[in-house]
Amino acid sequence: MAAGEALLRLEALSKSFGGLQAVSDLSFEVRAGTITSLIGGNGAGKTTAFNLITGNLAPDAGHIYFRGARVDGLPPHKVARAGIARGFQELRLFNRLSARDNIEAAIPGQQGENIVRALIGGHALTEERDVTQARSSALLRDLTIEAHAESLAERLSYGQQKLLSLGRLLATEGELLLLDEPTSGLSPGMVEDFCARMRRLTDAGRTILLIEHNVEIVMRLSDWIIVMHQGGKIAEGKPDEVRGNVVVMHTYLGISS
Amino acid sequence: MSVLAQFAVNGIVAGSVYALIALGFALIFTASRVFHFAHGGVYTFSAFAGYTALVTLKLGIVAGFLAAIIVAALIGLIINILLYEPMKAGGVSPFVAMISSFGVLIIITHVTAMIWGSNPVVLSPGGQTTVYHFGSIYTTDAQLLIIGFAAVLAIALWIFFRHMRLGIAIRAMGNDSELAEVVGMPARRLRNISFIVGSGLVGISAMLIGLNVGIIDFNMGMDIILMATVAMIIGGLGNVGAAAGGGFVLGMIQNIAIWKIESKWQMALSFAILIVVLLFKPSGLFGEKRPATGL
Repeated sequence: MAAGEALLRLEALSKSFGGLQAVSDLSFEVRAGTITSLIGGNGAGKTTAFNLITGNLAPDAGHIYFRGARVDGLPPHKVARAGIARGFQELRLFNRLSARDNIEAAIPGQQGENIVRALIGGHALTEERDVTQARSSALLRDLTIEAHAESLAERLSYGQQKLLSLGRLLATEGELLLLDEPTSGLSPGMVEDFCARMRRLTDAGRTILLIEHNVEIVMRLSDWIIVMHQGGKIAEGKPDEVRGNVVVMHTYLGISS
Repeated sequence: MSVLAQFAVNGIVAGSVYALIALGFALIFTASRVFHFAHGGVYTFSAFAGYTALVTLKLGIVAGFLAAIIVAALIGLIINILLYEPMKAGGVSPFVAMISSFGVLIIITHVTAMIWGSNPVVLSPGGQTTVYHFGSIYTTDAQLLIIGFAAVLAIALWIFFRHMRLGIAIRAMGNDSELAEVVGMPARRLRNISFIVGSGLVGISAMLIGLNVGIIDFNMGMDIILMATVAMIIGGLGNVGAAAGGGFVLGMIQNIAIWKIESKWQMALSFAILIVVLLFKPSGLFGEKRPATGL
């Protein structure tokens, strides 16, 4: 998909839980090769929007298009395979798998996942393993955690776990990365490292949809910002355009920087 | 001394049996987080399926094993599709799934009795049992078969879980099934595969034990599933290798204890071991260092 075209499109999406309207009539686009941020106070519906996009929740109304094809109604693993990779707000890893296995579990299209191929795969399977291992090694090296490749994920430090969860996203080869507060809890140095990584990813052709509370990071990093409130979109635009509203938003939405 | 050595050999055989059953039980637990008590029913039913092929239809020992494996795998798969998956989708707690599983164990046990009767039947390939002497120690061909199968399957499963894509995927799913789906794993299909493989293993175990003891009856799954549960907990929950280790230790202790303690205390002894292990090493003998709360 060429840069600038709409990679993801939400059309009049709604979702309620009992009496609570978590997302209402939400429409927006994420253009390929950009960092697009979703901002808004707690309960604005940002994480629910993520859950709708990934298929973890089914919308009550509206549609979601990815690369022009509808993905609403697909189960999560099919959405993932279609090219949407999702990170969680809370750190989520396969704690009892090694760092390497965490990465390799996310690498798509492996024949070894098929029970018949796994049993009679032979040489092709060995080759596939070599390719998979080379790929996980490269990712771990890039994330600077190669030395911990064989450690259980739960034994890594918090910063290393954050890096590993980013690595797992990259391993899915998803074109669109949904990041939910990727820098929360990180030291200032690591926040900078993460921002640089995100920029490098879009330079390399990936697209990022970001939920982030840190307004400074959002303003610096985003190509496009969507402001949510009570489940709906109340404004969108380039950082400068949204910044014009930012004082209002501080009081109105309670966004803290 | 030779008496103790004989008990030790019996212990290795019993330990291998428990290890085999616990392997399948733990594989299913790892993938689905369900305490699959109905596994005991699958064990019983598959033994009788093997009996029908081997004794009633006289199709030979290989057909007997195949019948047991295929029937076990099918029943396991059906239980997952009709019972556990709908419960999982409906957000039912693992505790309710466990009680339901116990219900299925009782149903299968009674269906077995309805089909094959409530009297024990002889499971034998016919002909003479070969007895081997090693000094003063006796062992039979069925016992050697058990030890061989257990060793080969334990190694194969270790390689499967540590080094094969499918095994790593199943461990990942047991760790966090929602996350597994988000990274693109077909969680449902992987759980089905675990039920097929885990149940197939219990089909093998059922035939091995049936041939070793020589008789099978409709109630045989009850005790064995209790022992598999004890084995899995003393070994370490959620870890297939640890469960097999737990099974082996349990079988050894039970049989060596016969040297000094009457055999009618075997069941009580097993639970005493369980309590002692839980008191002093709650994560199990071979489990990771964390309390056994991974339900």
